[in-house]
Amino acid sequence: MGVRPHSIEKDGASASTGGEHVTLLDACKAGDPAAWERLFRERSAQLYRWSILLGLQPAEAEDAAQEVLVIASRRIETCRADEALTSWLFQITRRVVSNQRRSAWWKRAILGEGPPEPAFEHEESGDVARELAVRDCLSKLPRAQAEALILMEVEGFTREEAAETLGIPAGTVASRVRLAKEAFRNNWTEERPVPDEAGLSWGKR
Amino acid sequence: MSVDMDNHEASLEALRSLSKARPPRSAEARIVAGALERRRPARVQLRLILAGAGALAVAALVWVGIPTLQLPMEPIQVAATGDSVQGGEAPTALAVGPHQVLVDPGGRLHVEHAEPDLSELRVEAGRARFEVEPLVAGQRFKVRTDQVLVEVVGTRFSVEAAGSCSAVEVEEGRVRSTDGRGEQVFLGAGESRRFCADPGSEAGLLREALVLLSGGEELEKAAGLLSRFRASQPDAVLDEEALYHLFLLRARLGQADEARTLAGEFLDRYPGSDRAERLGQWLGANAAP
Repeated sequence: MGVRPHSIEKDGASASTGGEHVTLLDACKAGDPAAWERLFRERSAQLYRWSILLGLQPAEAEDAAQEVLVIASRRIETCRADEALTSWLFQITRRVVSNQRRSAWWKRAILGEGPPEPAFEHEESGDVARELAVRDCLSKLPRAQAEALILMEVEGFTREEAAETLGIPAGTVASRVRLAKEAFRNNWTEERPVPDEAGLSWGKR
Repeated sequence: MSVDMDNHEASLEALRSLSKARPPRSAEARIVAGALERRRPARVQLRLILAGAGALAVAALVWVGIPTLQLPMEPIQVAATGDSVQGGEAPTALAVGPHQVLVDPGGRLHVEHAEPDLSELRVEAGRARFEVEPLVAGQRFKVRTDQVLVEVVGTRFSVEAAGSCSAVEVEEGRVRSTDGRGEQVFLGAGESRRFCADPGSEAGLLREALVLLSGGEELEKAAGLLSRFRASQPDAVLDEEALYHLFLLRARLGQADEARTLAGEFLDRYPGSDRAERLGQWLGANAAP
């Protein structure tokens, strides 16, 4: 399982101000620039990761993550609670990514997709191959399935949390994740990296 | 079947391995810096009204980004730490770093800090208005009086310190106010709140004013203390004393109109006082032109 969303919230949900315990969300709503900077720093990597996994290239994902943060700062009043912050940010991210892909369609149409670039920091070269393989497999999934799979398998959401985030019934989430896993595995089997390049036991057998 | 299962688990393991994937540090820095820059509001202005005062309540206010209000004058002085500015007949404008301050006539302002990360001012008398440039993280703009600390980080609101109470009214944005007991309350746009102190705490104002008055020094300060005392306790048993001495002060300062007003108020409120006759005589001799 991936990181539990609640642990993410606990990591960044509170700030002490003058001996008072004020949540980070409250401080942001109050316009505290230090709180905003902290929120931006804590969430930027997550938003970038989501943008990448939802199909953007690194430069696009940077723009998207920045856009999500700016939108969040303008609409923070609509985030009802600290516990909802992660799912609220994901909802914004999926819309921003969707818009970004739509607006860049002509570029892809003219220039093509181009070779995939590594998006994350890695300590080993094999990790780069694995990252590219994962992204390639995700990109072949229907968007709705990919979102459900990312939330539950990467971000560690429960089915109910994913359902609330995506605005669909929990049963539908389960169905999408099941289909997504199946498709992802099939893609993985077809597209898995050459083991010598990847240097990993999970490669071609 | 076993190979399929292995592939299945391997594929999910690979997917989950990205749960903590991070962008290159340079990319992360660009995202944060870009977002912070784009979040920056336009010019902001704070109008702070300090009308005398007297309170134990302390309101520490944090305020969020807002559009601009232009001060009527360009800065004519660049303030440095330690400067004191006395308002002249016309409003006195000065620059504190990138921020602008307008000290109204009769107002007095002391610059406690004028540094890149900290602008801290004390309004010692009268009213001052502030136009605060957008602050970046780590920068603070603070205005103090004896009763109130206002910490600005953006938005538009007003603070009025009068007597033992301080009133905070938010026009735009949102503020966090902290009273003298450390209790915090958030106020949104259109909301207001009064913070009042223990009424017994104002007795010292009268004592201090009378000491200054007897020494014949800092008469304006003494007048301010008396005004604060009266505003905080309009029905106090010592109001007669405070009103009478305030009248004397205004008369000594040559502020005849104000003195006449105070004398009239005294006669209305305390017609049986043994001071009433003297005040009546003074009014007769100093009738309005």
